[in-house]
Amino acid sequence: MLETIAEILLTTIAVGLVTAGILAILVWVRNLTRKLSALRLFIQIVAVAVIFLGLIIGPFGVAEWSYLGSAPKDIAIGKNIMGRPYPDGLSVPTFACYYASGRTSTCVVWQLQSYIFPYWETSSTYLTTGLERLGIAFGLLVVMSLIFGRFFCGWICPFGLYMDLLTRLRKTLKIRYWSLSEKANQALRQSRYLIIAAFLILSAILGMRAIAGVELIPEAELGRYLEMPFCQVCPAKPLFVLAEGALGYMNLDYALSKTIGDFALTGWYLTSINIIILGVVTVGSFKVRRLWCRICPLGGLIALFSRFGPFKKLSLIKLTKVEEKCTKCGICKRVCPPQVTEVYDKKGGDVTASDCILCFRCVEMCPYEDCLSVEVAGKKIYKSKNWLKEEEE
Amino acid sequence: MTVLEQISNPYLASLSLGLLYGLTFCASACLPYIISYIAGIGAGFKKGIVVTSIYNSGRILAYAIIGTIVGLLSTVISEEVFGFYQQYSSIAFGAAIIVIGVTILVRKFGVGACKTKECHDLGVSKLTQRFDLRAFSMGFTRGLILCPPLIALLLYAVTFSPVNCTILAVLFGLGTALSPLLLLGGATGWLLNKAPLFRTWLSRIGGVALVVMGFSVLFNALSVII
Repeated sequence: MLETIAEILLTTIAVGLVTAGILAILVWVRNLTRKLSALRLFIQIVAVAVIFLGLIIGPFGVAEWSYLGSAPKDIAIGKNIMGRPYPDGLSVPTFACYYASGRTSTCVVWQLQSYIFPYWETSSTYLTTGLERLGIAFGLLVVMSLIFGRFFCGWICPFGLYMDLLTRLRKTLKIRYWSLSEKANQALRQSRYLIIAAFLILSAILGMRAIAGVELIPEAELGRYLEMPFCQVCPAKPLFVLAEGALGYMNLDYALSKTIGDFALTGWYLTSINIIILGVVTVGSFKVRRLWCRICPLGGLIALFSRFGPFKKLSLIKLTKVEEKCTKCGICKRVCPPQVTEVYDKKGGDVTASDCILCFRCVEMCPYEDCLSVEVAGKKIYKSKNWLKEEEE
Repeated sequence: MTVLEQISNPYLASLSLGLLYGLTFCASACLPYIISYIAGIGAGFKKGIVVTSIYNSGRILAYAIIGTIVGLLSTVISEEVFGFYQQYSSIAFGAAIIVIGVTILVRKFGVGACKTKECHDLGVSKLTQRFDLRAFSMGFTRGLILCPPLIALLLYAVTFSPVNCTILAVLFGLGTALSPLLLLGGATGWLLNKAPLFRTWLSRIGGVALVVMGFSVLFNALSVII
């Protein structure tokens, strides 16, 4: 049954990617106003390849975990970070699980949860202690968030690509999307912080399950799974596991053997809850653009660090607006996937908002010359154009 | 008691033991209560840290009192005595958090509620607003419940004078206070404050959680006694 699902998924992914590629080329050639969207799609696809095929850092190199599957980079390039094994890859603020073939980078949410307990120990896999690894993961998260902000969400995150592909499919099927009310949108965005708080507390409580001889969770296996509470509900995890399984980089039988409990409630890879959430997010994304990104706790963390008062100026990428050129036509508000309103509402200057995924769709679609622009390190690299005039010509 | 055995200086050993457990077990044991309270009162980062510090100060005072009593009654102290005492201290803690949970839910008897002019003139209002009595009493009653490492420490400390016994207990408390709990309390307050739309609900959930946990502690203690 699972193999059939995997086969279907593999075919869907392959067809989806080819279609996306063809669409991207067509859009690039025919519609001058959407150049940036095509470029973004291309970069997202390349990022997925780099993240999951692991072309930069490797090898995974742990013989006893070979049953997970083989990774192209295990055969290709074999280098460790500064001569020390760091098998989980770089901590990147994107949803990219750490599976056998995915060790170029690792989802920082998984790392933060996983390294907490036992933070003082090293192991055969890690020569660094959990605390050191936590320092690396958290440090990288903060630094990348400060410098790049939510650029990762818009351009790199594999789950973001999945959301965008669903949007493209929705458009193809001519399904109209819902614009959420401002209050509903606010509630979704604020719920991210509750999710982060909940998993922060749960990680701390569940991670310390066997200290001082007091076991909070007696079952060792269950306890190990629950050390990563967010992974139990994360919709990206089953998507990537099934996709990697379908592509032959992951042993799905092994993945399934690591699911326990009634109704497969808990597991290392697949749980009934994370599969249901993936289903809900997938269906919901046909009606609400970038649905998951509005409640994504990782996006929330990046937003918290990137727009944190004293460090705001460190941000490398900025979205600016010239007030005099804005006619309040509202296009920027309408085309924004996560329905950010700051670009429309703010008067001028730096209009980058913490909820903005920096996809620059607003800049691309703004029909007023130089009204909106993208600045990298203070230098304008992209600005809005009068595309209505271009189309007339 | 490896820490106590390995470090020859008893004060340093006591502080180290506190630090060790504060960094691990204490954080997970106290976290549910303190977080529920922080959610209940809608504290932000700063207030979250202040509330956690006050909670910890309550615990340290409780340890100091227990240390003194143990020092004074060293001849009769044994593990059985501690076991007997534990049942009643759990009742006190359970009752305290039920009352605190209820006060959050009814929002009537907030600490710092100083209605009269005399009260204001005396500066009581300012004092009670800054010093969160509910957090203190929660910490104090929690501190009255002896955790396994503290029992071990106290059994070791009975060989010292009452003053030294008190100092050892306080040092253990200070050690546990320097735990991630402080940061977690502040961080949680900060995060919860980022969701103002849910504030009322969070407050209710915090209050209900305290009441439920209070009843759970109370029933567990009573079931052992009865």
